[in-house]
Amino acid sequence: MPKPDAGEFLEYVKKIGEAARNGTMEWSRANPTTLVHTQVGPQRARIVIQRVDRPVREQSPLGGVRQRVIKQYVFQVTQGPANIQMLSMDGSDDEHINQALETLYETVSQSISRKGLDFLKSLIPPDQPK
Amino acid sequence: MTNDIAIIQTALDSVRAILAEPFWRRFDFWLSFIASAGGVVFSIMAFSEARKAKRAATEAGRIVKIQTVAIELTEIAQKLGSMDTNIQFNEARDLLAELSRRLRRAISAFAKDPDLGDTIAALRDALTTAKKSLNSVRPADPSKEKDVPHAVYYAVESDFATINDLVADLLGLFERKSINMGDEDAKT
Repeated sequence: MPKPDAGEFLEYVKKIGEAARNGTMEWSRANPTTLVHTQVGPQRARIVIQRVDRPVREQSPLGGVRQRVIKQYVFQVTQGPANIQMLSMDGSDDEHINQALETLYETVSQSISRKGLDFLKSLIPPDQPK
Repeated sequence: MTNDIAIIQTALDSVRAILAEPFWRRFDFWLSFIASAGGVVFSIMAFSEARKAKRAATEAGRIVKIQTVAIELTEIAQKLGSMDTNIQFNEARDLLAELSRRLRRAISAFAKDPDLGDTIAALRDALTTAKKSLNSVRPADPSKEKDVPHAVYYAVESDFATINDLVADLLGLFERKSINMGDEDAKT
């Protein structure tokens, strides 16, 4: 699959972030590091953003080899019930894309947490007047 | 009677002469000494050869053990390289459990070896990191795992690549160890 235009993609990522912030795009957590937006209806699709902690071995200044973990993000768009892949972007290919995906991931993650807290709040009985 | 006394006197003089002679001038002394010394020398030589043979047998046993471990590591490397991109969480969990068990069993005997210790420690760390990476994609709802294709693969591919590299390093170190042991045997 040829790589899409990075500039155009980053614009869309920004718009998705705004939609997540204002609640017009609903997201859920498929697992601790993967967030999913599912669109139902005639154009059934999914947007998946996943945080991947990749180990990197490097020479230590004190000698020997040490392991460092870097966070990278994978963005996928799939179509239909068969999950046909329409778009896949890996943050390891481009640092700008990785940073944009990191921002999106944090934004979506916060919106999911906010939704969870609001739901929790709705379960708690209101304070009784004294 | 005088003759008998003279004969006895002569015999006694002969015995006295024999007893007065120093023992190191006697032929039978040297005969038994040489035989005893030869026995001691051969005993020492036999002991030395037996010790060399024991050392060689021990080294041969170690070489066989190293070669057995090398075969195991080669099989593990092949398994690491053939992971499917569509692997599901439970399949990855079972694969990692099997690889972890086989690797730890193969390398534990060499953990304190000065040539192999660092690589083995790094390999153990890599296995622990891989387990953490896999846990980070434990599905909240297993029935919807297929909604996020390749999630498990993306989460663990780097860890598996690191483990594969370390296994390759270990194989090289084992090969060098076998060669060095063979050279030492040839010298002795």
